[in-house]
Amino acid sequence: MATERSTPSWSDLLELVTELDGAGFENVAITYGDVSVRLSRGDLISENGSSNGSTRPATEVSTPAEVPSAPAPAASTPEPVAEPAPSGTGGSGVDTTGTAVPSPMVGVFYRSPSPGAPPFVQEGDRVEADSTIGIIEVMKLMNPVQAGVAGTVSSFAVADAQAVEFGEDLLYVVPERS
Amino acid sequence: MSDPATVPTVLVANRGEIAVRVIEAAHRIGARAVLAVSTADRDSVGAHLADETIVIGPAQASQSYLRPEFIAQAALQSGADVVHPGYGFLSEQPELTEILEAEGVAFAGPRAETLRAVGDKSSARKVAIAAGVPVAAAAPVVDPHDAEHLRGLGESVGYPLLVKAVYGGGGRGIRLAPDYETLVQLAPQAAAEAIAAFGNGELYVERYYGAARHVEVQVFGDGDGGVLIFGDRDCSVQRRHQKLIEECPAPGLSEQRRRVLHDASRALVRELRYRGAGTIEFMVDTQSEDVIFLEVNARIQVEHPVTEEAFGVDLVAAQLRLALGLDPQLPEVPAVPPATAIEVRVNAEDPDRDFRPAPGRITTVSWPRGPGIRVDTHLRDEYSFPPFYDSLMAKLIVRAHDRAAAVGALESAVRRTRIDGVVTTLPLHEHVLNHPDFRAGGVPTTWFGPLWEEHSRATAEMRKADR
Repeated sequence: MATERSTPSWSDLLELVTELDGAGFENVAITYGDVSVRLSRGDLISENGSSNGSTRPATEVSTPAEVPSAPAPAASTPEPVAEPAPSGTGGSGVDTTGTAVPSPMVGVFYRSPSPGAPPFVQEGDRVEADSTIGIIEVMKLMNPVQAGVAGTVSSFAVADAQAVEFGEDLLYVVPERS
Repeated sequence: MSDPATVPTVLVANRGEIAVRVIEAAHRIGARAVLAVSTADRDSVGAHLADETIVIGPAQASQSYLRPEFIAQAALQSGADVVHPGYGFLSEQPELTEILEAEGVAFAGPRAETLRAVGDKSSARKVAIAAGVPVAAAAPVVDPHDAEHLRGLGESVGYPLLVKAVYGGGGRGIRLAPDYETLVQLAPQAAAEAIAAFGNGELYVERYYGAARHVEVQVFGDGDGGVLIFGDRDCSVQRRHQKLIEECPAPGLSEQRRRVLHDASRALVRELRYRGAGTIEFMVDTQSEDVIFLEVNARIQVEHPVTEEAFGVDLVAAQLRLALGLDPQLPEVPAVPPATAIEVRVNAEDPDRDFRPAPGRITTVSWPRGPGIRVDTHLRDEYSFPPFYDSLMAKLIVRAHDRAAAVGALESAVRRTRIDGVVTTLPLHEHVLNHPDFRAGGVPTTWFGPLWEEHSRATAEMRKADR
């Protein structure tokens, strides 16, 4: 058992979790002093093992990246958010085939660079991971949004000039198999 | 109030128990409550109580609750008339107030200029002096090597005193000088250290109070210089400046001292033309008659319920009403309330392991019932208490006809509280509420730390012996 001195502080742990969350790992296990931290983006980690009170809630940051078809390459995917993708039976008639591109922030989604201009992308267009697919306006600041995945746009989940929340699906991209 | 055009909308820009409190106050005044949440709080009690939620960002507060532009955006998207910031997070950030003002959305708090004026210690001190509020005797050190100059400083400020670096902070660069000899010795060292640590050797000396109580006054300003005072609170049971137990009224204050505190607070609120709920914090020395201004908390505070219970008022509803341009519906009250209310903060921390945060999955929660019991909480059965935020789980508040009855009723209420699945600070409260010093009332802020260290040591030894 490590001594008290090697035990990380709570803010150390939070920093670690934040950093790991920002990296592309699916599953991570780290032992750090007498504390072990395990994170998973997939299913919840089993309850046993050496986890103590501090490590448990770390599973809260697990972000189920529900990708109906092939998962996008982790390295080029923007951080998937904790919003699980819709089941595809939303009833709205939207074709949710593919990988959902979530809104990186709360704001108003615009499909084109300015009013009247042609949209950045349309259904059926091919996009690269770094292709701009729209803009989120937050308090008059325009923030371009990238696809985060290469593939073909299958459909839009939100209309032009629609208010969106953080993590809300903007559109769906059928990824390419590489 | 069924016509949507006349129903105001409140955006609640906070989480945890205070989000629940503000949502209830919004509903109390017939308003719609929209809660801005991070992804970690989408399934919270507040989220279920609110009429609508808007996800503003990920779990990390730095990318959600601490971003004024996301809060303002959520306010616009929800059609909010007023934003209530709770405490912590953006509650005292003038940036949020200014963005909202530019968009025509009200802020349930003071004006941006007030937040700036009281936002840092030195400007707050200036405002206090201008209002005639007693502040700690202090003086700049012109030459740390000049013994005669130091003698004069010591005589004017009084011993014991603290030598502080002007550019220091967070408790660093502070030395205690109990007498002149120590001061002469310390000052040159402190200056050299300040240069090394902060790149500037400027020092000042300030009177030190080693056994003072923390007493604060609840104010409510109309924004035009009008002031209502809702008594005082004692928050002296603290650990490392974190309040653990609060009560209203502050016990054992002489009529004269109470008048000094209330009059000073009234003068400060007038000077600031303060708008809404606020708290003026003081040190009340137990070894002299000195009363010293500490700071203005320009927000609703965690411990506001003891004042609400003791006087029978709703301060949060009043904040919302005032911000909406309505009568806050608050009464004039006497300096001393007709009842005593005491609050314990139940935190997700392990008091036997240096108060290490102890978040985790709560299996079941059960609160005591009875006259005068109030629980402000966002806990529920099966709640995974998240690790990302403040460790406050609940505030258990008890009101009774006098202090002894309130202490007894609260002690019983603590024993009847069950929070299963996680470690909490409940055992600490049982210990304090049973302690003769606390029962006598008026302990200083330096009381709890050593007491609990001694208790923890004794507990650890008993455990060892049991093995």
